Amino acid sequence: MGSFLAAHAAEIGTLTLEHLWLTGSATLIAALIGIPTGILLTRHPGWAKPVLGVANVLQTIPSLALFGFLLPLPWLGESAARIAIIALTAYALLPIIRNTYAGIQGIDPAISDVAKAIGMSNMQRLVKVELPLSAAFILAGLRTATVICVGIATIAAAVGAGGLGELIFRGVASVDNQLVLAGALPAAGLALAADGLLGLLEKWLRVPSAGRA
Amino acid sequence: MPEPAHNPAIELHDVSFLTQQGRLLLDRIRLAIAAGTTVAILGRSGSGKTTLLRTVNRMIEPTSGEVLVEGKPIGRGDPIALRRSIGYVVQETGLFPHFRIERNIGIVLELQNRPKDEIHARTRELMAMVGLDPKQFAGRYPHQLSGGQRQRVGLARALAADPPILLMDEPFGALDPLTRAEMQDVLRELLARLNKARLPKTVLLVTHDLDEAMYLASRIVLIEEGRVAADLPSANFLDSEIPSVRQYAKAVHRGLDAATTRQA
Repeated sequence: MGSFLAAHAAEIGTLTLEHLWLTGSATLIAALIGIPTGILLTRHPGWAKPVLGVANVLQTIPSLALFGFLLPLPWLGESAARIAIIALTAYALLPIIRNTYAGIQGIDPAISDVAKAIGMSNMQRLVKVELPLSAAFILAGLRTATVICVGIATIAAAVGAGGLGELIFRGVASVDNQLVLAGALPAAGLALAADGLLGLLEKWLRVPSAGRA
Repeated sequence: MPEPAHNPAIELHDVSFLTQQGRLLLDRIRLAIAAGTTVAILGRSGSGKTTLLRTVNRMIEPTSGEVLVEGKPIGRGDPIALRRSIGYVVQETGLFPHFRIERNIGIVLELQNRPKDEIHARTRELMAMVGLDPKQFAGRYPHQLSGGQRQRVGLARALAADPPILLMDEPFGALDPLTRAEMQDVLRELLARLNKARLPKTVLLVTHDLDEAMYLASRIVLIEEGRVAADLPSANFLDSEIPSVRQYAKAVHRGLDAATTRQA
């Protein structure tokens, strides 16, 4: 065991960083798209059903198949990392959009009404009232998205995007459980660490007796 | 209270409001509220009194008719500027749960980008005005206050920018009778004091409580199914022969009547 670790420590480190990079950039892109989308849906609730429906369908596509679909596309197909990040982004969108939308929709309507009645503009209402009151909710969505991404990113190794999945796939192919664990354990650790950290942040953002309907 | 001979602060010219479902909530309301007076809009739930109030700060746009504030039709101006120039008080739900008391009171000034020291000084002054010790309460959150204290905060917030008009929608509706009476005194004294300081407020008070209307307002407008059923000085309200007024008065005082009859 000791000698195994010694031989693979550097590789595990590099692959963990790769894994973090894939997951982190995908979650970030998904947040940059998903949070504004969720906010827009609260302004045009008629769109909520179709948009959440599409995000839902994206989530049901088996990940291996989605990686495969993206492979022959121009520009995207040139880089495995690009494919992985786009696919992971697609999976991360649903929890982020859904939680942003539900978080803002769930605010006591009397509070949004008063915000308007005392003379807040739409933007002020969003920034001063709606986002702070739903911040914990939005963060919970980010948290779910991150954990999903950490898990699915292991499969990205199948298209050569790297990450901890590489050790797992190699281990499976050569029936080497040590190699499988060398990929799986750090991946699980990453998921737990991300979950824990974002959970702390969520708790810190929770508003004293939040005005929720 | 003598009625000043100013131009009306608020005028409604044949204001009607039809919901999208086709319900007529306001039916050609015609009203003029003299500056510096307190007028109660009385009526049962669903009579349209809140809708009426909300046409004045354009939270509701009338389907037809026109609302004038200080002589100017409000339909053409900027609704945000209008709302900032009108104080607004609702039931206790109106405070922002994530703001400390100080910020809740100063929010209207914050929206106007006033300097921080000015907001700070003004919030302290307002807290003293409504009887809240700034040292004790400025840093608390609304959920740490009692219902009456929260209502004082709501009142202070409405007065922050010193607006000439206050709109109050069942401001004390959620309070127990004793706290309610206490808040009515606070409001009455405050309005009298501001009047003396030459900062008179025109108050439109929506309530379903006849007693509250008579205690606070010099004039009572009774709304029934979106129409003005009666428009009388408070002093003459109980003597009126208008059937809906009689009905309202009877509904309020039946407890006393029943108890006296039982005793006899």
